[in-house]
Amino acid sequence: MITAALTILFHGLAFAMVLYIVSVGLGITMGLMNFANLAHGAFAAAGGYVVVVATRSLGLPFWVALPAAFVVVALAGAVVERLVVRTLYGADELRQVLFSIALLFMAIAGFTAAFGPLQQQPEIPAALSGQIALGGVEFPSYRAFVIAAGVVILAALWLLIGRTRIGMRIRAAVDNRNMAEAIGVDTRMLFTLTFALGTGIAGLGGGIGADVLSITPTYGQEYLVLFLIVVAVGGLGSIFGPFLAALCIGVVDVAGKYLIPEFGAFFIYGVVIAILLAKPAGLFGVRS
Amino acid sequence: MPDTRTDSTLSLTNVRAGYGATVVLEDLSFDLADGEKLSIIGRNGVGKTTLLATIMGLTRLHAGRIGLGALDIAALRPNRRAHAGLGFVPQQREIFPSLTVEENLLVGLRPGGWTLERVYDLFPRLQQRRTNMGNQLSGGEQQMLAFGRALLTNPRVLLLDEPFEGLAPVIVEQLFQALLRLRDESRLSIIMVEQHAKLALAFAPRTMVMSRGRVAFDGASRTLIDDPARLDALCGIGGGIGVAH
Ligand SMILES: Nc1ncnc2c1ncn2[C@@H]1O[C@H](COP(=O)(O)OP(=O)(O)O)[C@@H](O)[C@H]1O
Ligand SMILES: [Mg+2]
Repeated sequence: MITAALTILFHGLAFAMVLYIVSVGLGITMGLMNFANLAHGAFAAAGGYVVVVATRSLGLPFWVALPAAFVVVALAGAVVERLVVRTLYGADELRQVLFSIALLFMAIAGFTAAFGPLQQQPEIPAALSGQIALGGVEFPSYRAFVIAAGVVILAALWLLIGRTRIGMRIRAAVDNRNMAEAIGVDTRMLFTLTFALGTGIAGLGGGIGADVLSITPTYGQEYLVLFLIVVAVGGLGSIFGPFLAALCIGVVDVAGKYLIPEFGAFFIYGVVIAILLAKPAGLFGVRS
Repeated sequence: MPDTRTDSTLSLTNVRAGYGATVVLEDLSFDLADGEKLSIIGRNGVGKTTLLATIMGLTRLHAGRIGLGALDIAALRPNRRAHAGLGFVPQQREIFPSLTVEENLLVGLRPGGWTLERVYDLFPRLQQRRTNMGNQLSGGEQQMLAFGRALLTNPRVLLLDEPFEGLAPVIVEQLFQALLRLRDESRLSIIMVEQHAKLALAFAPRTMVMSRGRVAFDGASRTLIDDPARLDALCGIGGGIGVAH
């Protein structure tokens, strides 16, 4: 009984943290720029592939591959923002959706051409490939690392958004873009930076979470609904809301599948509907 | 330093502007000298807010030139105009609700004569409320915060849009005193759009009256104080402007 509860909690947390790391950037960019980036998951997949290539083909250490995934994907995000996304701010949602879906399918085709259709696994460092005992139960150390990484990223983002000047500006621009401009905030540059940050973190999440959400070309499409749920339930523009949402969804999903497997994903969608009925703007929505 | 620059003249030449294809301002021109204070009055809907928003770069400019000092700012985005020396206190205050009072003040901070201490000295109430969120303030506090936020960008020209609108008389009096202090103690150029003609005429030696997107009068406030019939005619019968408030 206790073992089952611990197992659910542990794996639920690991799943939740991956969802969080990948989705949080989507919530920030949707809250700031009102841009529904359905291609967000493709950036996460790209991060996964960076880690795969870095550790398997280039033989680089995992600890070098992770920051590389962040940097490469953030740069790609900045380029995509400058070239295309920028022209779609304020455009109607249908155009945004069609554009980002097109980008997603282009990414899927690109990944398939480059890496083939099969799942890819990064090389995990020896230090994380063992087991650790928690409350008398053995768990994979790597997943403990995933959980820790989620908490570290939450803390880092909370500091960045809540305690720095750039974070202050991001919050101001989310509240009121014109007024932020009128006091001298370069919101265009801020949007590029934020888009790069959001996609970069997704890339990091793709790399860190490859063990939970496996890296295949269709990653961005397969898990899209989960990312959107985390963002919608957590609230757009929030750092902490998506964390709580990911926790609920991760733990409930693992518990449901563990205890009553025949119901599959029934439970997480039940929780989603309940939360959105009670709080339409999400748990911590800055903007609905 | 804003107080030592001598080229801080704002000048609008044949400005036509509005929203999208709609033109609200028709062929509007005026100059503001360094350190000059100007009041703008006019009935509701004549385009006073549109004029300030146009100077700030928040509307569509169809034609004309907007100069700030030697710089033509007409093509600049609002944030460049802010850096060039425009400070904006909008009609709706537009406080950032998810920033604290102090963050609202600091978010646009640029170096210059205005510091957090000076703003707190001008509005002690803001210091008491410094850790409150922007959306937890009374109307008067929001207005003080909007002032302080603009001052801390250390502008050369301050644009105020109906700063007393919707406030209780006692708060209006307090704010007006603060504004008079600002007028007398700084070399800031100020444009104040105001519905209360009495306050407007008392604030600046020069007043401009707008009518349907154009300048209907631009001259000494004294002229209008001495000729209430003319003031009434300029602002229109029943136009919502009373000489008393
Ligand atoms: N955002 C907007 N979009 C379209 N028209 C607007 C907008 N804001 C104001 N207007 C119109 O522009 C005209 C001038 O409005 P405004 O500048 O707010 O006048 P005032 O500040 O003198 O009361 C009005 O006819 C108003 O309906
Ligand atoms: Mg107005």
